[in-house]
Amino acid sequence: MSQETTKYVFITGGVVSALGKGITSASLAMLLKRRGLSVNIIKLDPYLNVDPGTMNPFQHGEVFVLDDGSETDLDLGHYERFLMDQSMCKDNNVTTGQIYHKIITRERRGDYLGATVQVIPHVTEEIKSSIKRLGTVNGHVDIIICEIGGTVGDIESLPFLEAIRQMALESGDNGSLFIHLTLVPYIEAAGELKTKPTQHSVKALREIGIQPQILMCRTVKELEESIRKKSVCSVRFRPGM
Amino acid sequence: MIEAIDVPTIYDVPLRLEAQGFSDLVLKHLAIDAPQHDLTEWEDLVYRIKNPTNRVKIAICGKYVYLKDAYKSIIEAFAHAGAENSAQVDLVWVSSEDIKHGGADKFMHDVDGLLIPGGFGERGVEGKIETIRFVRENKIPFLGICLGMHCAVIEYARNVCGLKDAHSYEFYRDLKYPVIHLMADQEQITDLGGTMRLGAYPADITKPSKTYDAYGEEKISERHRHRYELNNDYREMLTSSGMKLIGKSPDGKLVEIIEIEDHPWFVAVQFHPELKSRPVKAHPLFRDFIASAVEYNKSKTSKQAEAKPAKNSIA
Repeated sequence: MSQETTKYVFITGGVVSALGKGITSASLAMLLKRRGLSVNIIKLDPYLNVDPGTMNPFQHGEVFVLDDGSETDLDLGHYERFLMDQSMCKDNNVTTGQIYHKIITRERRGDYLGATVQVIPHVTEEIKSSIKRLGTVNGHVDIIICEIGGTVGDIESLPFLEAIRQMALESGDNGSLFIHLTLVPYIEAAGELKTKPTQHSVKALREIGIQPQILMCRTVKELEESIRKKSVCSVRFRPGM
Repeated sequence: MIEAIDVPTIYDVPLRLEAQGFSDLVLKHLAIDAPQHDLTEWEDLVYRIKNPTNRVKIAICGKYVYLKDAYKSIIEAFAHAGAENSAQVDLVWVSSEDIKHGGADKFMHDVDGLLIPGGFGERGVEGKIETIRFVRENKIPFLGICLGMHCAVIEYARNVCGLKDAHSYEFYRDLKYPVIHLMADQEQITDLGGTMRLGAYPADITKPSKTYDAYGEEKISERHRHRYELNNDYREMLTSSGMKLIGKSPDGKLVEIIEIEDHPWFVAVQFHPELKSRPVKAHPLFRDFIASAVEYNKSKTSKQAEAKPAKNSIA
């Protein structure tokens, strides 16, 4: 059953935040695990805080504390609840603050030997190794699910998106998958579901070189066939996919 | 393309996605062959959440009641505990500041249980203490977490032990009776980030107790996030007045769990049980707290039923 190489599922969000990326990622992890695969899951948070420990719960929500004492994003709570008996550790939640903290500590120590330290490649490489680390720390993992916090189009999340774009190229055919979660709002006055925000958010993703293979549309009403076709055309899927 | 329609319980999300072949689609893209799964356990959970046979009303009294995400794990722990007790748990969010102005009975008279969650800061503490007095005196089930335990200790010291000025060193420095104080190893710490007593620590439970009945074991491990603790100088005074120190750190130095005598279910803990509650495996304290709330609700209803015929006969 076990796969030879670790494969990656990257989950991004578009249009607005709070669409339920965390629950979607946790649900996928749960479903795959129950199909006999070894799964791990990571949340990448674009903010500059090292962890959410000192952030106001009124703005950011609950701080989820792990067995190892890490103070993490509340999505880690969803991961543990959906995976039931698999505990998370500090490696399962990485923030921009942590990435920069590591790089600057290394730079002060003189590890870069005179090189100019830059977002590409230094920050992106550090992000990639944070994701890959999960496939090795506790033995082999078949699939790593990687949830990117924030919304596509934010300045803060750009280094993360560039890092996963590179990882997808490096992992070869069938080595990775992009799922993009968007909102299809219902406009009361027109009595219609609207796909325009989704089209724009996919466009933003493609401009930075990421072509999502699965579109997940958050909605209050069931999607009609015409809506499906319209969104699918804008993403350039093969029909029926 | 997968549709993610709004659903009443988050545990229905994977089932709804799977009905559209979600994991098949993902595995096809990744060229992985895997056997099908058995989701019966999960389907049962969703069924039980959607078809409760009991119903209880639990008040949550805290500072951040306007943002439910601040209490995410507590809300989920109630969902798990409700499912195990076949109970719909209606959460009533009470701002501790409102209690201060409106009085506890206005908000608490029809609830079947009270939970005081963890938190920081002095604002609203007096309101929390007032709600605890109400549920202690009226024998309504109570679960206190972290700051909730501190408030329970302050309330007991003030209203049972008679120390009117009892308070926590967290909020006032010049105190006559600091029943809650800073842990010794926190005294030299100045940084705020990542410096609390954090993560999993073991605790020993004494029996007989409500806590032992819940866990069914004497050694437990729970997750913590705090700087302050029950002041050991007040242990004797509290216990001689009927407070029981049920759980302690293995070296006996830190009080982890308190209960009180002569109350159907009054448990307060220094740690955060909500972080370890799972669907299909509700946290034992949340499970028993809801069970006692169901009991309380039933006894209240039967008392009302008994009272009614009497009224009719007078009429």
